[in-house]
Amino acid sequence: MKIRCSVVLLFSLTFFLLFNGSAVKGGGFALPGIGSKALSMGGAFRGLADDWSASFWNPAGLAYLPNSEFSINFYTLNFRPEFTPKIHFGQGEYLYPIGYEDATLYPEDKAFFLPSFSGFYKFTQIEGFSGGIAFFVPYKLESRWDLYEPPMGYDNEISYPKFDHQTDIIIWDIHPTFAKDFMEGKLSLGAGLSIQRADFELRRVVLAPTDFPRPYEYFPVDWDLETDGWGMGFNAGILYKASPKLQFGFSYRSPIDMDLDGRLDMEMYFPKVVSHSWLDGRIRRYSDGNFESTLSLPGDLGIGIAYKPLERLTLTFDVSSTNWSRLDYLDVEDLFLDFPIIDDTLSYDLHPDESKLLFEWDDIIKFSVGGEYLFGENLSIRGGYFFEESPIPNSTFTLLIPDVGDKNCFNVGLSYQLNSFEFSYNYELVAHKKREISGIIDQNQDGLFDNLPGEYKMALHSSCFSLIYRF
Amino acid sequence: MKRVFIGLLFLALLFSVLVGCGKRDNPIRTAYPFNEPWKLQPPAGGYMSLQDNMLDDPSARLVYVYLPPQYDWKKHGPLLSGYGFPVLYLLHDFGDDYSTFVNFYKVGQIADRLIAEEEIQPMIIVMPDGWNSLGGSFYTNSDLIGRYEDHIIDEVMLIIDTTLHTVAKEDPDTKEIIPNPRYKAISGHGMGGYGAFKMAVKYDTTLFYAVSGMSPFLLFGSLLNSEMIDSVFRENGIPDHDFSDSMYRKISPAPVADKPLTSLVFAMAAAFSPHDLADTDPDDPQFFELLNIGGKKYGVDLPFDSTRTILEGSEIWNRWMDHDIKTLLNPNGGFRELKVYLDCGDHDQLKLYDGAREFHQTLSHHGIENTYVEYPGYENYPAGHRNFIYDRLVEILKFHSRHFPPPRYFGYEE
Repeated sequence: MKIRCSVVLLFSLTFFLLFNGSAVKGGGFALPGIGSKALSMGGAFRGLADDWSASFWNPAGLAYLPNSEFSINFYTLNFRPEFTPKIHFGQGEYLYPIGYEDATLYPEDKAFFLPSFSGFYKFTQIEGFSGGIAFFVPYKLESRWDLYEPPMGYDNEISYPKFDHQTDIIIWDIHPTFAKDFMEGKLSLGAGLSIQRADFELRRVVLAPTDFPRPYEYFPVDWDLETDGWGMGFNAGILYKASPKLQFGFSYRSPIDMDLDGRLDMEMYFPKVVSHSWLDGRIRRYSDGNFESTLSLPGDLGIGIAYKPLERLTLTFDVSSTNWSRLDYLDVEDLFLDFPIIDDTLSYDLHPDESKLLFEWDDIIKFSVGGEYLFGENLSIRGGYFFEESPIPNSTFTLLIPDVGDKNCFNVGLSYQLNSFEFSYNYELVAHKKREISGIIDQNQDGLFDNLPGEYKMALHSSCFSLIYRF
Repeated sequence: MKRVFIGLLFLALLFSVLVGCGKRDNPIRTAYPFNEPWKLQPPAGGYMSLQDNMLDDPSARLVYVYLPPQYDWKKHGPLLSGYGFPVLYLLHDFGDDYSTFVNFYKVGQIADRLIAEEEIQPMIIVMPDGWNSLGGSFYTNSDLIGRYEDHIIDEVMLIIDTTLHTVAKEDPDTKEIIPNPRYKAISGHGMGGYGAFKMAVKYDTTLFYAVSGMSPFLLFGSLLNSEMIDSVFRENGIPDHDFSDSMYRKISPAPVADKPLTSLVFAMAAAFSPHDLADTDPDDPQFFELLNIGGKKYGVDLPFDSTRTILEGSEIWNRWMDHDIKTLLNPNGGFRELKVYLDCGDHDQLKLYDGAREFHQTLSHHGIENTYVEYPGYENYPAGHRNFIYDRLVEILKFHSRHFPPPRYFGYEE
């Protein structure tokens, strides 16, 4: 009875978190994965894929589910980046700051929670056939930074927004998946449909060059983009049981183009110069546009091995590649720009390029290893590790998506089976390699800066709680 | 086993809640808000030195005065006791006025920050007005434009010493104000840099202890080079190879906004070579009319003719050279004792670095200690004439603070 009450409470909490946006806080654009067990094994799960999270890692694994099952999961993240800006021009003894302090800065520290749940049914009418639906969050990032302040002497009438770099990205995945085994259970094939919903807001400072002397050589533009949209893709996998001790998995996730509709507001903050006719310290809005755009999310390809050297011990190894190079830039189309040009002193030729957000990311490779040991009949202890490159080059790296550096990720977890229930827990530490960027870069030569130089550090602590009910 | 698991799960929950949750604080930014400077109001009827100008420019001028946060009007009146704040006179550029350093380059906030960070000692910064309707007076006494040098030296400095808590004394017997040059310095930008050096070479240690200039107009021979003269002709729509007298006569400073170099040359001519006021119907080929009052013509003599060459040795050019800093410099006089700093951007539009380099070499040649800094800009933002004044002011204030003696104002505690 107590357990049933707990399950009801847990489901209620899931729905509350799911539909109450304000409760969802934190960071991490592409999350390390889903499922407590898979995460505990460092994401080396393509060759094993023996619970609901197979719908994400390798859908073919669902064919071997021993029972039908429901699951609910909570993912908590504590996102701990830090940034020491070195954003100035010139060199040597001639260094000119432009509004960023040379001090170590932190975002607004907040932990956040992500729910996911699934239901998969083992069809008894068709042998070796399972199907169902999972609902999870593969991409999430939320952070707010107070990085920029107009330089001393700017004296604008209206304070520049406190949180000037802000990211709030969440992409939900509704994932119907089916799998069937063949060759007397030696081989299984699975496929799933990704119906993804993206909601995001990005806010940054764009510095628009002028012909004025310092400290007015750039007028800050508060660039605030809000958008949402849908996209569709699929994933598919193969799982081959070479022997009772050895399995191979192969999976592919298709790229997804999210069709977005949104709004981009750009407000330019003018300095105040007493007695100057239009350097009046006010704000001028020069875009008032709804736009359409496409966000190109990557696909990935991975293989995995699961090996059981002992009856109670399972070892896994995965390697995968993600083609982040698809994410070239986020452009806006049909945006109406209406800027009150005042005189020739504002040299910057405003054009829609200003609204373009440059990514130019690289493809990456990820290596994962994991292990699981069964104590007695009910308790499993797990551990895992993965190494993953950062896809973001220095030339377009900003805090909007702070994937600071190559990641070393360590996981420990456990699970306990009680009758039809399995409780699992995973702790994950993602240590990012420190990143140092020395110079401001205008990568696409549009007169605007595409990166933020400085020293970046980052660690991510996360936990995943999972409850599976099998029937 | 069940108890072990529950225990482990509880620990895990606790761990999840606590790990990585420590709150981190960002550094607090110190704000230096814009504060309206103290305004020295003109005497009733305006300043005597400017009353007789032919341009009909106002003789009542405001002077902006930066007072440091330590300045307390209740105890820092004009004590004339030999105790007070050091004073820096800061002269503005051509086209600017007394308010430019405060309103545009924000010298008040720069000084507030440097004082708060103990980078400089508290000082008073006085910003007189050298503007006239031609764009600038070059802080020079001229029959045409008024006596701006006298305005600074005889009027503003005296009023500052008798109004504010400066290190000046009053002779108890004669009641004469005795300034203390050890606590007085002068600086300026562009035209103001010229003014600062002009007053420094003329009055040296009798009035000042240090002088500095940001992109100063030094050495007229270097400034009025053939490229600049060609630009003046071009501004007036005269083709490059047209040397006719008729086209030469078309040169005029108006409209000022479209002819910055022509305006500059006319302003300098008004300061250095105004045409004899007694000759009101001149037919001199280099005379250019600026005013016509009741049929009487008043104007300036330009130092170049229709062939676009400076007539070196001519009477007009000699009058210019009488105001040239190099001519005025007495290398064996009191100027030797002054602390000297000058700088210039390496992409100054008027190539003022040529004059600054030559002046620096001249001083060094005569064994006069001086610091010359030629600073670069950065990519897509060259070190032009005005671009980095906001930053150079920091160096100027530090330079003068270094050379002022330790603070000597009432209430100062070491």
